[in-house]
Amino acid sequence: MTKKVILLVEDNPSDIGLTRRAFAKSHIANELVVAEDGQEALDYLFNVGAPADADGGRLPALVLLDLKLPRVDGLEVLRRIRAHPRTCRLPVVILTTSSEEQDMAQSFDLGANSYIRKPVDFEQFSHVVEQLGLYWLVINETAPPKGT
Amino acid sequence: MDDPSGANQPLIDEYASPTRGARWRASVRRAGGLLGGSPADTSGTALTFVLVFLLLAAGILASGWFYYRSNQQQHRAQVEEQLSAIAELKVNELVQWRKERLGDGGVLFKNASISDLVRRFFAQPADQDAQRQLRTWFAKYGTHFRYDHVRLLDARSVTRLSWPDRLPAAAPSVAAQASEAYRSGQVMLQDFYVSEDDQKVRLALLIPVLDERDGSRPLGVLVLRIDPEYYLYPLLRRWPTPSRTAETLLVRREGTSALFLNELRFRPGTTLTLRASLDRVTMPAVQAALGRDGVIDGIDYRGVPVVAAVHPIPDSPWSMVARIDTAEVDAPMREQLRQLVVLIGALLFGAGASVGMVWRQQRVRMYRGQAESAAALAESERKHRALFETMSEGIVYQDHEGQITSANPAAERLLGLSLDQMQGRTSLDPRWKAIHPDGSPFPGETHSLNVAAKTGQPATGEVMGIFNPRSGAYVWLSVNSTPEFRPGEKTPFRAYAVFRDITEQRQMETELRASEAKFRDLTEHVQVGIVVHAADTSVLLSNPMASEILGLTPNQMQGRTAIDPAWCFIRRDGTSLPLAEYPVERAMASETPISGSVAGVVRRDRQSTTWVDYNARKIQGPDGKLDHVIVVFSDITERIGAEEAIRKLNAELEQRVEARTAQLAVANKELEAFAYSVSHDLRAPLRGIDGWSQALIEDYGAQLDDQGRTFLSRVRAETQRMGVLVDDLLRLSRVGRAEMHRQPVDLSAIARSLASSLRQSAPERAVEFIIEPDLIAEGDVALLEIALSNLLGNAFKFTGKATSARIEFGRTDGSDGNAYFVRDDGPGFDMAYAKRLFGAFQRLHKASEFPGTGIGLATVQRIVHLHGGRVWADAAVGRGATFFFTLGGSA
Repeated sequence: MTKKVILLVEDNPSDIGLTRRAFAKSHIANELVVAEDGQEALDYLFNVGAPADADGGRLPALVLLDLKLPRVDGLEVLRRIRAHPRTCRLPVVILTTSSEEQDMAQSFDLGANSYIRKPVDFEQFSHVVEQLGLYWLVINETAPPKGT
Repeated sequence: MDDPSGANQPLIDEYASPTRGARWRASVRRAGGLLGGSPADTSGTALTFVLVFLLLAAGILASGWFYYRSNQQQHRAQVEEQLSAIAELKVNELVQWRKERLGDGGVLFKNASISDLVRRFFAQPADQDAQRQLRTWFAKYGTHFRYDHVRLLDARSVTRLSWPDRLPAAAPSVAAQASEAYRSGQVMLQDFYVSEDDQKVRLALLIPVLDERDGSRPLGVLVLRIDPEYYLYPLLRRWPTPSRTAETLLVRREGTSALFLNELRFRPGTTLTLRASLDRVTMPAVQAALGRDGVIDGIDYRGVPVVAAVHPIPDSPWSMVARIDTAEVDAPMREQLRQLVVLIGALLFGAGASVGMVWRQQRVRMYRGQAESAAALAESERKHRALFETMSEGIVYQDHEGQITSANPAAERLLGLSLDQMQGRTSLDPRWKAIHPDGSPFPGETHSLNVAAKTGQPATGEVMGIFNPRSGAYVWLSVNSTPEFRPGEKTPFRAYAVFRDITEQRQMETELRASEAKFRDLTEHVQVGIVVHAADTSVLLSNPMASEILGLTPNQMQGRTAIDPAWCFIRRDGTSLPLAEYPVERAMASETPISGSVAGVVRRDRQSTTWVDYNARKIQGPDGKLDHVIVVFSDITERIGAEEAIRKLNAELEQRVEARTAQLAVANKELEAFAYSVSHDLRAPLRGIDGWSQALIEDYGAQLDDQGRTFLSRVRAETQRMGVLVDDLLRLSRVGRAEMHRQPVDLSAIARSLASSLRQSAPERAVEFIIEPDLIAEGDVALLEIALSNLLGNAFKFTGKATSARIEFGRTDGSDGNAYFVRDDGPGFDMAYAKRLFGAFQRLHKASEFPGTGIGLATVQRIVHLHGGRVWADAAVGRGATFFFTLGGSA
């Protein structure tokens, strides 16, 4: 059994790169699956349109979700994750540049486990990512998926 | 009349005028006679009392007389009864006595032994035995039956034997009687006779002695002499009650006279000698002798009036008279009369005294009454005088000739003349200067007082103006004139006028009239409609403006009630007004005046509507009942039109505002989207620049020289500064869009907390915070925290160069209320640039000196403005800076 994947939902390639770099620097070995828009993230989570491979039934250990996304925005993705029994207990951390109170409030209302604003300073960003991995992948006990 | 001396005389002197008492007395003198008592009354009362006394006296006398008469008659009856009883008793005794005597005779008559003895004695006179036996008989009889002499007579009436012995010969009358007895052979009683031997009155019982052997041949006669002194006279003399004059008489008729048979009480020695002629019928003895039986009044032998009971004595020639002097009989009555007289005298005296007492008391009462009347009169006079002196109405008396005789102080005051000045003035005097209400002269002849005094015609309510010389003005009077007549006279002897000052009243009436005229003028010309309704809602009056507004002539309104179809009211929405909401009906139903109500009045032609704004109120009479309702209204048709226009405009405006608001909302949304994209999209590339620069340093740093690495550091620093700038801008825009929640905020606590954070951020610095405690403001907590954070942060930042700093937060009195301030002792700034201070991105210091984005104070200003306050600064280069702010009304 391999390590669980981390799903990063992010449309900005620079941020994707920096996030990968931050994970790498923090020695987090989990595979980072990137969905570049909301729909792709949902498709990944619910296996829509993709071949039903052996890995299809597996859920990521953690979803890092940006809010401003093409096609389906982050809050909608979060709503759908929480609405579905299969994914309703999935840890979802909002990782965004927005510091709007409105976004923060809505995210927690929809069941976000955490809300992290991406700092401009990369060093700080690396540090945040390291803390994230440590917490969600090592310290936190994952809730058992419903119905499995 | 214009007597200057009189006019100038002080008022008080006139009141003290000695004529005042006189004039009062003159006016009340007439009343005196009615209250006082008159002499005729007194004499009449006395006569009454005398009559009463006489009646009483007559009554007493009559009663006394009747009482006396009754007593007298009773007494007389008693006396008569007594006399009769005595007479009867004596008659019975006399009859008894005679019977006894004759009985004595019966014992001896036809007595065989006596007869035998007498025969023997006569036959043999020497027969001692017979003689002795006869003597024994005689002695027994004499002593036993009280005969003083007993003798035996022979046929020749010679005394043959006697007891006591040797008696003288029998008296001739006895002898004659004896002969009669001898002859008749009957026992006989010799009536009173005078004894010859001693000249005393005697009676004798004569008993013939019959020879028993020879039938009735008489032998002799026994004579038994009776001394009346022994029994008979004492019997007669005896009277059962002590009496001075009473006596019993025994009479016998002898021929034409009556012979008194016993010793008379008041004329001794007349026994058998006193006779009274039978024609002296007033004499009781005569009446007795004539055989009367009963009680009679008469004159006795002494010529004295007597009362006598006369009775004939049966079987005898005697009649009994029991008599008593009238004087004695009447003696008790006289005593009684005397007592009665004394009693009556006492009673008369008592009655007289009583009547006198009553009369005296009545006199006293009368005099007291008179005294009280006099006091009452004095009191009445005092009261009336006080009234006369103090009443506000003037009174003037005038005699028949027109001369003023009396006037009271009020009259003096009203007329402005003293009594002295008035007296002698007639009502015709031209100096009075009297005028009629219309100003025309008022001639004295027509003055009602003058008319009343001359003709006796009274008058009331005559109005006249009289010039008062003292005040120098006309005084208006209402005059009542009354004539006075002496009893029985048809021409008045004087008259008086009572008048009161109606100047003020007239003045008030004039003013009232003027006021009414003004009011009428006002209602005629006022630019509001006025309609007055009676209690039954009918229109009493209306003004021209009402006609104009309502389109109805006064006649069309007059008398119309609320239910009249002439009225047609509508509401603002065009529906017709129900009757209960008509102005007049509403005013009647409401306790408070109706004001500012609007109603539409549809004109009679139904073509147009006049809008009115009306006030209505009901007016209650003094009894609390509805009197009338006043409705005042003004034409507001134009205003209503204008209001309608404004309403339309407002509606349009509202629509426009809504549209603008919607546009604004869209703009706001766009702005928010913009801000969002700025925060999100501007930061992402910055992060990329920074991140990749870092990656370059980390991965390829060894291949770069120091300068290259410095350049990359610069890139990263600028990138991070841009990030801060974007964040500050975002914050500023967020402040602008925030909603205010006002509540009490403890600024001191916030300042302390911020100061604490600031110290911790730079623990190496020595900064003194002086924070005034308990500064409570009204405002939004979050926003005020941001503002204070910026101000304190600035102060902290700008004092960073000094070794020690002092930062102050407090409150001060400003021109527009309390102002909060944050003061530092930093480098300060030039006030010439103060205007630019609060603009966004404006900075007064080089970034190399003090880093910053220039957005903090703009944010502070925005927050202060949101609170309705203002913010300003006071500073000088090198002398620190002070930032003041207020928070609107709540600071």
